[in-house]
This record gives sequence, C-alpha cells and structure tokens, in this order.
Amino acid sequence: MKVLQDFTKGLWQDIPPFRLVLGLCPTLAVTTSADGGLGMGLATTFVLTCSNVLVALLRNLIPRKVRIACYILVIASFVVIVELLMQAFFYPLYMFLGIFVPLIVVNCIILGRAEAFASKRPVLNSLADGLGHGLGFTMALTVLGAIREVFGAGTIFGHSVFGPNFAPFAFMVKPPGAFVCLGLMLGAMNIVSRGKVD
Amino acid sequence: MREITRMIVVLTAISVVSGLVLSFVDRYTKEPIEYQRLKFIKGPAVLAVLSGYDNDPIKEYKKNVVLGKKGGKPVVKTLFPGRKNGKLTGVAFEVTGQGYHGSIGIMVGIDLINNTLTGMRVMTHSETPGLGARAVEPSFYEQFSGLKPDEIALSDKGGKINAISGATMTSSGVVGAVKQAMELYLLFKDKILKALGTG
Repeated sequence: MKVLQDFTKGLWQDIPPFRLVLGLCPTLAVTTSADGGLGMGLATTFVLTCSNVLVALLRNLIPRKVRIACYILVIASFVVIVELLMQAFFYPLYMFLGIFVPLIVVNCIILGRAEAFASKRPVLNSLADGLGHGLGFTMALTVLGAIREVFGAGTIFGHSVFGPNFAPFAFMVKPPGAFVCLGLMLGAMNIVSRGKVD
Repeated sequence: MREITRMIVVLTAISVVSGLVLSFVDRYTKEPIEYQRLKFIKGPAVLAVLSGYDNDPIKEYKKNVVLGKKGGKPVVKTLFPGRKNGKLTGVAFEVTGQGYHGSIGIMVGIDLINNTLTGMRVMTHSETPGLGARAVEPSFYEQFSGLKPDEIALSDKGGKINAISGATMTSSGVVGAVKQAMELYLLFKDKILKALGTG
C-alpha cells in the first residue's frame, strides 16, 4: 500500500516539473518535439530509478559527511552508462539531445530524490519513488513536447497533423515558447487540483 | 580518526566499483557506437564528397588499412570506395586538421582517374559559431570540388580557395588538412588501389 503510494505520488501530486518545479533545464530545452521529451524523460527515469535503488541499498554504509559526493558518483556513473547505451543504439536521439544527456547528472530531481527520499527509505519504496517520479517527468516532458511540436511545427512524433497548408506558429518551438507553454500547463494543473481540494 | 578512515574507504570503494562497471559498459558498446558514428556522421559526408558512383561506399568500406610510413609514423586510414559499374572511380577518407579551437575532422573525396578532389566536408569541429564554424557552409566547401593537387591552397598563397573572412586559422587548418590528404593519396595510390581492389 505504502509502496504503491510512493509510486503514484510522482505521477500527479508531486509531478516533478510542475509540482516540485525541479529539473527545468531539460524541461525547457529538449521539449521542441514529443520525441525529444520522451527520450529525455526515459533516460532520466533510468538514472533516477537506478540511483534511488543503489542509494537506498547503501544508505547505512555511506558516512553522512560525504553522502553528497557518494550520491553524485552513483548518479554520474549511471548517466555515463545511459550516454554510452544511447550512442550505441539510439544515435539520432543522442544527436538531438546532445549536451543535455551528460547534463542529466546535474538534474536536481535525481539528487533531490536521493537525498530526500532514498537515503532514508528501504529499497522497494525507493524503487517505486524513482519509477513514479521518472515516469511523471517523462509524461510532463512528452506532453509539453507534443504541444510545442503540434503548434510550432504542425507535426506530432514527426507525423503531420494539419496537412501541408498549416503555417507553423514558430514561437512555440523557440525558447520563450517553452516558458509560456510551461506556465500555461502549470496554471491548468493548479485549476484542476484546486477543484479537487475544495 | 575512525570516521575519516570510513569516509575514505567508502568513497574509494564506490569509485572503484563505478570505474569497473563503466569500463565494462564501454567495452561492450564500443563496436555499436563506432558503427553508428560511421552511419550517421561519416556516412552522409562520404556520400557527399564522392561523385559518379553507383555502389554503397559505406557498406564496402575497408577499416584501418595500413598504407605505409610517412615521417617515421605509420599511416592508417579507413577507406570508402566509390565504384561505377563495378569499376573503382573514387576514394574517400578522413583527415584531421588543426583549427582555432582544437581539431577538425574532415572527409575528403578523390577522383582516382584524374587525381583531383571530388569534394570535401567538415564533419566534426568546435570552431567559433558565425566565424570558423562557417567551414561547414556550401560557399566554403564547394570551392574544393574538382581542384588539382597544386590548386589546393588559400588564394593569397597561390591557390584557389578563398578563406572565410575572420577565420584565417580555421581556413588554413582545413586547407592544410585537405592538401595533406592529397599528398597522402599521391604517395600511397598503389596501396589504396590494392586495398580496394581495382576491379
């Protein structure tokens, strides 16, 4: 029951880019297309889940004073693994994401979950927490990417939506479009959840 | 004192394990990455620098052909052959030039019949955007097509290449590397033909 709750809270209640407002750098930078958002989200999910599990496993072994250094070592190792695997099997995605793949190391969601959750909880709960937050992040990035791609390029996952006569609203795929779109989504989420609480 | 020992031991242990795992992953992914790089980065450049071929140069490539020695150093190149009706007409290979911000990876295509350049593309570089980075633009690379060996030089040195304005270092680095590629080709033409099979 508790484990299930740890999983689901990352999907809505604590969904990283909107509720925690963490990890905004990749959220804004790679969501020019739905593909990019999905790829970045899944890569982050992998790193987050693995590092959460490992940090939870080692939580009684790691001395408090050097815990951050240990977490960063663990996270950085998984990021390098993701980077190598992505280059080996999804090269076009790797070229699209570019520098943002190694930058997963400094995504504060990952260090945040390691410090705030995994370092104090059992392995199974940490696994659920990592998966939940990772998938929540993936969902948010994919939706954001899809919205920006539909309006900014007239396509979704590379497939044309409006036909050849559509004049793309290029603002949406530019950096300011990312902020505007993120703000609108945050606002929409607040309206929806306010209704629930009341 | 006990605490500091523990910190050192734990950090060292994590680093060692991490290093071991990463070296294992690196070894396992080395070959797939090399193939993907070839396909997505070098592939388009190879097809662009060769001309008048009807085969698949990327599929028929010869990896790490030892051409001989130059200046005491062994010359090893990966060759991409261009064939027309089964007859070898051109070859593409990679050279490295020295730019303003580190090395520049260049693919060069050579016509085996007339001993001229068929094309040149800059594949990897870290030059300044707007200046040296303009080496990837058609206005620069198109100047290289069809040049004879002695024409490969900047125009102020008696050649036919106009430098990119504001990026002399990049321009001369690229031109130098292309010239060096042509010299290597002329020096080792027999070896290249032999490795690819004159067919």
